[in-house]
Amino acid sequence: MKANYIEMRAVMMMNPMSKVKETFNGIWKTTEISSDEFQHMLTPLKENLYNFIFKALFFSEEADDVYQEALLRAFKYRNSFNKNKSFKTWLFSIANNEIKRYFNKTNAAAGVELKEHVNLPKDGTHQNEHQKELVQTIYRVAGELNDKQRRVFFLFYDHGFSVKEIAGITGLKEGNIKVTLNHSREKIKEKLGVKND
Amino acid sequence: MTDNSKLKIDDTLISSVVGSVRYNLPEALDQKVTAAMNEEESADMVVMGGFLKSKWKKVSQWFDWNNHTRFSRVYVSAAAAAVLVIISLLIFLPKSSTQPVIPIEEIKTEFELKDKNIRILWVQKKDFQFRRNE
Repeated sequence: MKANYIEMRAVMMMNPMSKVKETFNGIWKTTEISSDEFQHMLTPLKENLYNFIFKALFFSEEADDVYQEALLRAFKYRNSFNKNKSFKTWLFSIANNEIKRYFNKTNAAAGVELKEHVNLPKDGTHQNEHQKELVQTIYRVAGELNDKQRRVFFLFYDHGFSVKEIAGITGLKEGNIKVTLNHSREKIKEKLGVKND
Repeated sequence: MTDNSKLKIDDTLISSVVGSVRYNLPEALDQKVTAAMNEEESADMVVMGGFLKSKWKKVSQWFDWNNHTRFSRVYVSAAAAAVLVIISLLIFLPKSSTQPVIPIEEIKTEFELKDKNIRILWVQKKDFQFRRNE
């Protein structure tokens, strides 16, 4: 009886304890991030973040408010960021949550009508009609996706996150993400009249 | 309409097309957000008990925002339950029964020879020695 009890105690201590240790390490070893340090990490990602929010809201005027909320929240909870992980992933997951919050709020009130236009860059990057058509078609497909699918679409195609990273940011399963991306690709091909291989 | 039937639609093409549309962060928005952050920072600077407040804030923020909080809470609860079980076992575990050894005072052995109607009772006492020194 005594030998079994010791063995049971050892087994019970093994796994939970490592997780508890990790939990407490997470709390006590997280270092404070100063405002300057935060700004330094944030500056190269600001424009990317803005583009993500703006496109995820499909060019809605509310994107500015959502962007502000996301950044303030990130700043407020900056000390919870684990420096061993990717700041970009952490920041985008906060933005993702803010976008979700926005859609929950606005959808609850009334049906959201998104503007279906794509502002081509004023610098005239898209020189020919073919390129313009391609851009408009692809963005039109993105506009037809639902909020969740659109976020996945832009995280993958615009910001280069992997399926695994997107799963971490959005909380969606990898399988669902792959299905969304597949669906988008097929839709684009269909709209462009491209024959399937 | 351009002929797209021979176009190869793959992730590389879609990425390049999607990424070609870029919007600059409005300067006014950027300044507004920076000002709001500075205001938030100065509001956090508490003279008395600032250190303790920052530590408590760090702990509560970690629980609020960590992606694995939900799972960590499960493990912490499981660990706490395990500790309680161990303590209760230590308190209530019955002591190993070690009865005091009763010294043997004598050993009785009985023999019976039925055909001779003889019964022998052999009693071995504590001071019995197998061999006697003569």
